[in-house]
Amino acid sequence: MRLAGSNPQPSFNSPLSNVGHRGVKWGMGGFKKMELREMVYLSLLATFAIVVHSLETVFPSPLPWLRLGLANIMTLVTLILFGLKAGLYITIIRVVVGSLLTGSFMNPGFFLSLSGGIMSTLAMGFIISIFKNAFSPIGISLIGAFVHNLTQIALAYVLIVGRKEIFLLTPIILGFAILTGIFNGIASTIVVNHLKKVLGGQVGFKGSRVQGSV
Amino acid sequence: MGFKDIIKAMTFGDKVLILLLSVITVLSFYYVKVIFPEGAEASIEIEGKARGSYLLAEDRMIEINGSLGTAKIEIKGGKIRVIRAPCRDKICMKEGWISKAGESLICLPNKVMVYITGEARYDAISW
Repeated sequence: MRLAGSNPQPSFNSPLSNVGHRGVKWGMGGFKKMELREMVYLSLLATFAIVVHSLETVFPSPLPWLRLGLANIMTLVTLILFGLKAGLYITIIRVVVGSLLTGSFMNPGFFLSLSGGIMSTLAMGFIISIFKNAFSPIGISLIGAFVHNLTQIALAYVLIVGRKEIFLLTPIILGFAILTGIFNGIASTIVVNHLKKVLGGQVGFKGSRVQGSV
Repeated sequence: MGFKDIIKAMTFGDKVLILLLSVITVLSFYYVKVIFPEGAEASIEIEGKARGSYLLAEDRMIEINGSLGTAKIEIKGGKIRVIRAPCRDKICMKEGWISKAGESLICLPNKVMVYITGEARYDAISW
């Protein structure tokens, strides 16, 4: 970690400002180059994601695959603040640990959530990096929800059900995805803005997509 | 930061996206209707044995004696549903109307199964 005195850059660029979106030093060494502070934030985000993911499986749902996808909020917040690789880490940790907690590890449902989570994270990450400011978190979350649900229904067809009747669910699931996508997007906006306020300039949020919307 | 600010922070891209995805969703309703044809016949099985099949085009009431008691099944306007079931959970009744090939109403306690067949019949003939 650099000392403030040795930093040649302006004073607002505190020693901690190389943490976050811009300054994340993801290298081939994985977490080795990650800073302590950043690791704490990511751990907290992963913890929240696991808790939300586990709590969500407790709530009853009219259809087995119809869920709010609240854990997607944490993924989206991580993607916006820390980038694609961190988002993927959070997703994989969430699904693996969450399924261990709820006892669904290596179930068919586990593979459904893992693939849906990874695909939606990739999609949201690419959307963030390709269309820089075209979408607010609401739009990104919508894309994530759509990709998540489409991946899951396609995989459920290939792996589990094997009957094309499962695609009868598509319209319902897509309609539900719009609602949950918008809801999660609004929640993500609130979380991101709050985190920005709490952390102030300490974390390098310059690349953050929601900079201007506070 | 209130709810209004969040709505205001929505970009043009967001609105286009919401519109686009809504259109896709509405189209998927239509698509499903086209891909999955309306069934032609309903077959009823009791304890795994075929009880008979009924044309969905003809409105009628059917009384079925399952292993628990009598179930009442209604066919109306190309759809079929269970009106009365002797079992405790009434899951088959809550399913409501079904009309598409491949859909089914199953009452496990009563061992009655209603499923709709459409194309399968013609495949059998062509074989």
